[in-house]
Amino acid sequence: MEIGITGVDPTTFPEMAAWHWHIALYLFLGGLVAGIMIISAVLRLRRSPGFDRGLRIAEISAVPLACVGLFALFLDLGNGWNAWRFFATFQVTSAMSWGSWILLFAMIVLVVRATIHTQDLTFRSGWWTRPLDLLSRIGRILGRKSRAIDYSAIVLGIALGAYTGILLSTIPARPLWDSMALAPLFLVSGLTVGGAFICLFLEREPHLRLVPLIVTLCAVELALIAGFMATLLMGPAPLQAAGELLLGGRYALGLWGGVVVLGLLVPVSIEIAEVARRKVPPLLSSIAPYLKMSGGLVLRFVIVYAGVASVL
Amino acid sequence: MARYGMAIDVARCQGCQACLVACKTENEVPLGKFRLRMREEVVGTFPDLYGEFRMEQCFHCENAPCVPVCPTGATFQTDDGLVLTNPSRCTGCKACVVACPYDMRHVNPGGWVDKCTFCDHRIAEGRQPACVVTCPTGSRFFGDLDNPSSDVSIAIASATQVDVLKPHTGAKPKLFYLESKLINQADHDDPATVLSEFAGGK
Repeated sequence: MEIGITGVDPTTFPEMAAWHWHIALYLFLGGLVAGIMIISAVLRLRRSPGFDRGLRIAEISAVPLACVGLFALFLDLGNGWNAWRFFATFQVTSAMSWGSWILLFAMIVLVVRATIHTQDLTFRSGWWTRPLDLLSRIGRILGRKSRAIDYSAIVLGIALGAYTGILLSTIPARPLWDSMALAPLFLVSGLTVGGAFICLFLEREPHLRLVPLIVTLCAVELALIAGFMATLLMGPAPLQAAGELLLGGRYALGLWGGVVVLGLLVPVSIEIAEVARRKVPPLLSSIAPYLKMSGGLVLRFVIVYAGVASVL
Repeated sequence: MARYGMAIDVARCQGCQACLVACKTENEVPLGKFRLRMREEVVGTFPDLYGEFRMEQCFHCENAPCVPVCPTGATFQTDDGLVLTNPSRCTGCKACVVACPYDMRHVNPGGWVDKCTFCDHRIAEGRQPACVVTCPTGSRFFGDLDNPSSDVSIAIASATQVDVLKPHTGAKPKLFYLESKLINQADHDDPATVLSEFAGGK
């Protein structure tokens, strides 16, 4: 059978107009920031010693990371100057509307937490440090409520991390996204990459104490990827066709090579070897967190692009 | 309240695309953009061929998947069942583009998401959509689906074969295809069966 279609534009080829790298990057950074929020808040509430420096850097870094994600989203909008419309209404049936408000509150908590942790910073005196001194003073005031703010960071972090998956899974027209596993997968992946980001700034000893948690998260992420594939391959024909895109299609290398092997199995093996006091080359040891973060990024790209390409 | 819908008689459609051009002119659709598209399906091996032209546009679904995903309420459904987009509220986030199972939405160069409106401005004046009045073979029928004496209801009632695209999505599209031998047929991939039906005048 031959099929001819007239009109080379996004109406004919929807991949020309649908979501691209902006959304994948936005979902990745959203998950990363959510992971940083949750893990850092839990560690602070537990008053775990040895984490303070790493957590402070991660919490302050989370603000520009979230801003980059929002900028990517802004670039994706066809009519960016109408972005304020997201906050002029609340559409209860729209996951994106929920996400807009969650993101707004998460940003407030991110900025508050970053401000709290600037109180420990010392600056050379000069006219240019006055705003930073003021920030430190505000941080000291906000710091009195730090436990309540940490609890709110956990709640908003979970909401933000899950939202990055729910945004896709509430769109039934794309069978690849039609899976209940997507929200927990993106949440756990956010925790994995958030943990990896925090580890970049930790000393060796606290890093090793965090490894059991990170290995558990990676194992759960692998199980969720398996569950996600199972829901596709055991579903109706359109879902099976979507699953084939990931199983042996053009996105298979990205998922299995980039996410599962390089992004999860290899870095987890390195970290387990470190905990077991095996000799691990310093280079391998230092790239493990980067591999996990790359895996998280590739996961979003694979799911977004393969999802747009899948049709009912 | 009316419940507007459209039907296209596939057996009458010659694929001239006058409807597509009329739509572009009537709605000032920008250069390089289209609210309609033509799909041409051909089965068989030369010289034993059977083909159909199928014009596709927004299906103004009853359970329109594009409406609930819109974060600003820019995409909405009127009491008459038309699915419309308010450009001044649209952020161009494209949630509706990916939510449409028929891929019938695109981003206008102005940044907002565009699609067929069933010429709602003409309906308001009591006129038919531009594509309907332009069709030289009279293959398009429009009107109130709840009114048995409307053009579209009569056309559907007198057709021997009525189909909608992708019925399994549950979207309940309100654009119907009449007398098609290729849409939603179990033997869709079996040209021999289609050709034998065609030869038999079924």
